[in-house]
Amino acid sequence: MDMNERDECGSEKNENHLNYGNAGFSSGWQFRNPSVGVVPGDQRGSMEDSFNPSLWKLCESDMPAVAKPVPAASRLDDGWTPSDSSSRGGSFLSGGPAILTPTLSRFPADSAFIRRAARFSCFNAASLGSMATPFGASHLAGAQIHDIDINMAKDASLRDVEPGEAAVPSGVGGGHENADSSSKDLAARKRRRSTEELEAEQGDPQMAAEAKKESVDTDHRAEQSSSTAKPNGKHAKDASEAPKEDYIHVRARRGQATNSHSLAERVRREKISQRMKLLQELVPGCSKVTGKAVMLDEIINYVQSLQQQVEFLSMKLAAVNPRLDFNIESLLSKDFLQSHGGTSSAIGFSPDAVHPQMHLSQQGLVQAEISGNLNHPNAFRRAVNSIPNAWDEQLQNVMQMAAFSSNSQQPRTQ
Amino acid sequence: MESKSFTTGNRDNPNTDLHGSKNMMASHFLRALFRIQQTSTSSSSFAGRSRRIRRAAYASMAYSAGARRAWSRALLRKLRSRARLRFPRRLSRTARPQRRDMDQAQVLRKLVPGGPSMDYCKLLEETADYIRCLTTQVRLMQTVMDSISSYAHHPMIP
Repeated sequence: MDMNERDECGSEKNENHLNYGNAGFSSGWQFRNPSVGVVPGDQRGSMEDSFNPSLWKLCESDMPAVAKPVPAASRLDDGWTPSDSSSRGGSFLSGGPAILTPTLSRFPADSAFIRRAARFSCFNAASLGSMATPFGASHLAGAQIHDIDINMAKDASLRDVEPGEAAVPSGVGGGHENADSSSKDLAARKRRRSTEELEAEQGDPQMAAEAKKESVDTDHRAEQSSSTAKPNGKHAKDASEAPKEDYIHVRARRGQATNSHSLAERVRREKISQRMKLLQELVPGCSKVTGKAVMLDEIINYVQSLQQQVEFLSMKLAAVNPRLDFNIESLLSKDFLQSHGGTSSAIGFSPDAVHPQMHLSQQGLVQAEISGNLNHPNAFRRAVNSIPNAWDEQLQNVMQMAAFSSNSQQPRTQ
Repeated sequence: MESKSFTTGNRDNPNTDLHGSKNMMASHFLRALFRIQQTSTSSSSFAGRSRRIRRAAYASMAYSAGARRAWSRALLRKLRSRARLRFPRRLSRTARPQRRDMDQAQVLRKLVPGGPSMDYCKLLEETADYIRCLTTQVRLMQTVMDSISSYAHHPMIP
């Protein structure tokens, strides 16, 4: 499947897609319905508990790693609102657990409501009433759904960006969450539309009727709902920041894509949009820029300017360097050379390295720095400390260690 | 080491490994600077020294990113092959406004190391990481610059 091939997120996500696309998944949804229905207004934790076993039993596949994402899912849900503005993708993992407790009280009804509405079978006025009363909550529910999807998207990009350890559980969690929210997305989007209308009109019966109608529609017409949900999602996405992601999420995760070609194409576009969002956050002053062409221009400009800065600074350093009569770097390296002696591996980049350099691992260097006796402060350290630059706590440590270790040895002027 | 707890500028960064990589980049770059300063004599040309420093900067970037990223791998390959490190650094790309979207990807591919061999999606991803690393490196060099110049004004008491 093209989608799987294009997916860089690892086999687990592919398995998730495959499994979720199977009938087992849809039956899993239905299986979950009664369990969801009988726990109206539960805490989300219990919701997740009731959700997990049924899903895992149904899917019955080798997804031991997928069990991880469920806690991640709860974290994700909690991470919506506080991170709704800017750093959603980056901070949802870290911010999720931290904000789990404070936001938990606000969310259960909303997420429970969302899931229940997704099931479509137990949507009733009671839940709607509970949903409607916290009005901001209902809006939050809509926004949360955005955030889920955006977080999913960010999660996918995170998986791609960081293939390290931290990304794997979140990646699997993202995949699971994607599948999880996929069927919710349709109803969620329609519900969001209805909630937005609710905000505008505060009509419970109307919302109930609309949501019921939409839920029924979604339940019965999978493909059509996927197609109708797209314009609906886009239409209702005025508050959302990433309409494309939600749109693509639904179709991809549903697994009901009629055309695998278009499915792969949409997955690809989703990924590209995710990456563009990442880049938008990286490049300063691009938050208000829309459109790929302008964005790419900005990115190109920025990369070029950064490379020019590197050149400029290297020229400046070349100019300043020989004027140092007391070179911290020399002291640093010399101390290390003396203390550690000989394993030398030439760093290949320097074409005119006269003497073999020691290949110091980062930890080794730090060890050398730390092992240097911490002596009395000196003027240089004071100068280093006075650097107002933002990053320099890091560099100051390095420099201070260098100064200390240099002080520990006999003072050398060069 | 308290450097591991350093978080400034990493709040929005999903790459949680950046702390250690910053430290690695700083130490690598400083050592490289020292080597260059030691090996450069009065007869060394200023241009040669600045080229070497620039090469050291890119090497530090590539080492800090390791083999995880395609751009760092391509950069390391380029460095190890001792090829002349060339980067498009024309101040004004006056031709660019005439070539629109169809060539933007090409332009980006020329900028990012290893660009030509990536598809568009991967190119964007690598560009993001490359930008992150570049900004880190630029800040590092600025800091070194500041500290050196401030040091020059406050010489260390031996």
